Amino acid sequence: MLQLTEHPIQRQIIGLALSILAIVVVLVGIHTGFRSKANQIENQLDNQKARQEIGLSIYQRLFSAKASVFKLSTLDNRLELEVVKKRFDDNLMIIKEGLAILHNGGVFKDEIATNIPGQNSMNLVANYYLPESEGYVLEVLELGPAIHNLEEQAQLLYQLIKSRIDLFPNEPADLQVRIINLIKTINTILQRTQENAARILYDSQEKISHLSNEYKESESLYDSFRIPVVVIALGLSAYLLLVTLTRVGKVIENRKQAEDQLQLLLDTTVEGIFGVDNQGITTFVNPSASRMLGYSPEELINRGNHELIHHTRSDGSPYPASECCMLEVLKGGTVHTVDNELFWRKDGTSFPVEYSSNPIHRKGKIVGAVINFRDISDRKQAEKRIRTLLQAIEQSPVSVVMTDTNGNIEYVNRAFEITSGYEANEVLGKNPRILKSENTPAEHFKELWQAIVSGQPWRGELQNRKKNGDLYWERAYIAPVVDESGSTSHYLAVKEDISLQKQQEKKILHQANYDSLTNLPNRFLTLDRLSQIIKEAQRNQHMAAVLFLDLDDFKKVNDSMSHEAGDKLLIQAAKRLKDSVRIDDTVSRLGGDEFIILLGSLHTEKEVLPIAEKILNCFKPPFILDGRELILTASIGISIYPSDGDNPAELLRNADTAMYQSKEQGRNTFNFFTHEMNKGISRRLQVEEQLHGALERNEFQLYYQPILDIAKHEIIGAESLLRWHNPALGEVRPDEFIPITEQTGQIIPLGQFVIKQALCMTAQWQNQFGKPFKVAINISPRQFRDPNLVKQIKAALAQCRIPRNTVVLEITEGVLMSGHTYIDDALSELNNLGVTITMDDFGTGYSSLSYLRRYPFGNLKIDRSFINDITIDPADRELVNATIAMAHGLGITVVAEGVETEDQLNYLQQQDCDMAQGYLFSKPLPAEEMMQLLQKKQKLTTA
Amino acid sequence: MRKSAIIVLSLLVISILSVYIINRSSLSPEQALPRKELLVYCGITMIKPVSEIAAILEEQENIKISIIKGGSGNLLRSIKFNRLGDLYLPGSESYIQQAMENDLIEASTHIGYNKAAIMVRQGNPKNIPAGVTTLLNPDLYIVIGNPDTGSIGKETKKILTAAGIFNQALQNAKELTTDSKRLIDVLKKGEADLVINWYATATWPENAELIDALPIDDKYAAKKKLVLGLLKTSKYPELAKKFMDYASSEVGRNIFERYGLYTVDRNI
Repeated sequence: MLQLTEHPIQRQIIGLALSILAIVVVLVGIHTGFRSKANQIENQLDNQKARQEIGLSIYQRLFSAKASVFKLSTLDNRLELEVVKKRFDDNLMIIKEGLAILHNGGVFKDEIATNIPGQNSMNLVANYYLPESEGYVLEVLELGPAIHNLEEQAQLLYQLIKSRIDLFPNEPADLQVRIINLIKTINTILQRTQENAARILYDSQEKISHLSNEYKESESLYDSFRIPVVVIALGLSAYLLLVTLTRVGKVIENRKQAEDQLQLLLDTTVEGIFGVDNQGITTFVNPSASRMLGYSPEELINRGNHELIHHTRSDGSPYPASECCMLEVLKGGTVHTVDNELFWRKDGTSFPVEYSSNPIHRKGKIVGAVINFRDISDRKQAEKRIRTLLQAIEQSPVSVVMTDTNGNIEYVNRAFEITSGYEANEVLGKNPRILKSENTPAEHFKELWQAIVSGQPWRGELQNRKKNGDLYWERAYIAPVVDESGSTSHYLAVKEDISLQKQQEKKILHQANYDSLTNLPNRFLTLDRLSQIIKEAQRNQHMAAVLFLDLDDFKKVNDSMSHEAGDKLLIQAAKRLKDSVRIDDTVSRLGGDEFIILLGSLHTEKEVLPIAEKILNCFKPPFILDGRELILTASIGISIYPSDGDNPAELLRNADTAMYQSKEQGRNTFNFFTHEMNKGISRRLQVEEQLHGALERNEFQLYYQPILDIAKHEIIGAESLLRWHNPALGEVRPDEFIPITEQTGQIIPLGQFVIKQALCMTAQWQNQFGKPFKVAINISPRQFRDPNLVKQIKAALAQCRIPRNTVVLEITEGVLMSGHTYIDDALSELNNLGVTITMDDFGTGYSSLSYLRRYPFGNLKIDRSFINDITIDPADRELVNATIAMAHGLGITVVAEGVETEDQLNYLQQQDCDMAQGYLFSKPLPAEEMMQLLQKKQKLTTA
Repeated sequence: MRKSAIIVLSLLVISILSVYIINRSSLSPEQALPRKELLVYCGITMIKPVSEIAAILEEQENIKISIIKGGSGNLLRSIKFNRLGDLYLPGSESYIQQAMENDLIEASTHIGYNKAAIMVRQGNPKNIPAGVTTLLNPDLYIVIGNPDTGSIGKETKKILTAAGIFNQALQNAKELTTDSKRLIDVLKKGEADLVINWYATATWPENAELIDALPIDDKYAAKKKLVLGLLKTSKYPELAKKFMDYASSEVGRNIFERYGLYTVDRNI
């Protein structure tokens, strides 16, 4: 009802009317209440009066009955008896009727003919209403039986009196006693019933008195209520009228204020607002709309709005008014909010707008619409920018995940889906921990959360699990996203899949620590492990051992077969080594054919013995390589922590030294390091040290030992021999320093020096003495591995301008044994140059006759060991004889070296040996002395 | 508008309250809603404890209990006549027997004891000796209960018959009365010198200072059981049963004890 009208003034007036109506209702209610109460009391009073009258009637009738009983006792004739009985019965009948009315309610009628002096007979009509709630009427319940009893007793009395009259005057004495007793009883009953009837009277009397008082009180209350209530009601009505008038005034004032405010709002709002009528004609426009559209209000008002500013769609197509969303509201009343259309300015330009069109209802009909709009150029640009950025994120190669502050995923880009295997809809709303692999330590995540919760970004690497269960590594940048208020609104994770990089790192790490061929730890890792073993041994008071193992004659395998075969052999050897040691021991490869075995947790040195023997034994079975069986042995050197050193370098060095000792002892054995070994090593180290730069310091010198033509007894050439005089070491023997230069590679420059020096000196002598003097130069096997050897010899030949046939190159069998083709090629090329090739030390090695046939040897030099005993040992003699014969048979001239006695010379001469050299003729001489010797031109027979 | 609504509502509330206040006092018993009502026929001697129990149950069960008091014989006659009522407590068990014979009793329960005694005025001013033969003394104004109207009358007849003096005593009695209350009244008013009445009445405070009780030999006046009967005419037998249960309970027994109706021969 309160919403019947929206007009505030009407509302106020209706309110006032309702209030006054309510006051009237109150007044009427109060009046009615009082009246109702008064009526109620009146009714109750009437009822109680009726009750009183019935009670009185019963009482009187009982009184009359009592008189009848009294009368009965004195009667002596039957007629009178009948009259009295009739009166008694009538009384009882009226009493019973009265009781019935009291019990059930109804109209009680009695006509009492009293014989009380001064009282007239009366007619009584009493209308008694029994209230429902009364329940049992106890007086009636008590009186009823009593009256009944009375009736019975009276009947008996009547009979007795009747008998007495009949028997008179002979009535028995006890009959009179019985009559007297019966009358006593009846009187007692009558007394009781009268008392009960009197109770009805008293009770009614009390109620009447009470109700009368109540009625009076009610009337008095009504009087005291009436005037104040009326005064209050009038006062209240006047007050309400005043309030209503005040409010109406206020409503009018408010309305004016509201209108002013509305106008101000329209004038100042940045939104454009205009109104149209139900035909789409502009009815009003605010300044913002006018400004944005470039039209004056006059140009817009009373003109078709759509045709003026909304005629063309954003795609340039015409926009019919019949389809205009803005005006559609006029048809159906549907409120439209549109943000994808253009408004056109007066100057022909357009701008994107967001507008909402709201209907104006009047009396249930749409009479127009209000359109408010705003220029959303900036927003459109921002949206475009956001779209571009979103596209960039979506197409980014790195995963982008955005969660809310509870960690629930709100956005993932395409890269995330590709990397993780999860579709976006599978992860949205879930926690990124679904990617957790359990491999990333908990501290990592703790650190991450601590950082981002405190507003700091976190960078790190995480190992996550893809949907298919695969693990992958990500480099993550996780940072809180802060909103305008400075509080964290989201968390952003940018993650790059670095699994490949991790794999490569792992591979690189493996490569850095492991030997690629055998997959054993390399030198770097070995040293690291050795450090750990030493620390552990220190901690536990244990011992540790380093076994330095070098495969014997492995170079021969490499040289004679191929590097590939050598590699295969190394792999097999590595496997056997691993199988020979305890599971906790380390087997590693230092490089080449060198292996290291690290044994930790030893209590005595003796514990190493069975392991070392086991290692040597594991090499006993032949290695099968490309279908061939090869026997390979190893030499082992052992150093013990702490007795042989307390750091990895020292222990390794000492094991190495011990290994050399094993080599020197004939290989295929092992040796524990002793400090004596160190001395030999230290000499070798000194030599190595001094060799460094010795060539530059001109510490080397060539000596020449003359070679004689035995038949002619004349010097036909000399063997160049290298001598090294070091200021620190003094004279160092060639067999000490040459192997070292071979090992260190210094032999290459030293060999070049020798070739050049010898050839030039010989050339000089040839020029000086005009004879085809020959020079023999030793070429070591190591030099043949230098691909530039032939080139350098050619260069030296050319530089020194020496006849090639005067140049002899001496090689040992060791050069040939590797079987490499480059040896063959080099020898054949040298032979083609015209230089002579001599097989040196013949007889000491394999002395393979096939070599003599296969290679272009010009000379053969019998080793000095055979020549020494040629005069005393028939076996040597036979061998020398056979060698000379065989060489000559192959067209090869023979040189005997180490000739020291005439007997030896004579015997060699007898055997047609071609040339000889030795102390018998001359010891090796420096170049100057050699030149002096040549100048003498003397025939040398003795030194 | 809201304020107007508040005013209108306030006025309506005021009017309703006013009407209520005006009519409140008229909510008399006549207008109260009908309640369930038990009607108890109670021998006059037991009226006090029964009224007390009735008051308790009225409150406890929200019912009305009306009590018709009187001589047990009269009550039995009323029950027969009225054919109404729920419970019947006579002063003598024999009335219950009679009621049963008349097919009026549904169930019964024992709730106390009663015993007759000779009663004289306080201090026995006429030095009346104890013993039933006193009732034959023609110098005394003797009132006894009517054997037809009440239990005490019946018990008196029984006592005097046992003593072999009923008819003489009846002749000697100046008056017969209906119940124990009237017997007490005539003694208290000084109208009678001697009555035979239920002993319990002499213990009540309003009587104790005016009356002395003289014992009657047990061989004439035995301890009588008080039995409460549930009438077949009961409109609310369940409620009546509750009344019986309460009266026969420990609490009920204590109430009867308080009015001298349990350990009846304690002080005789």
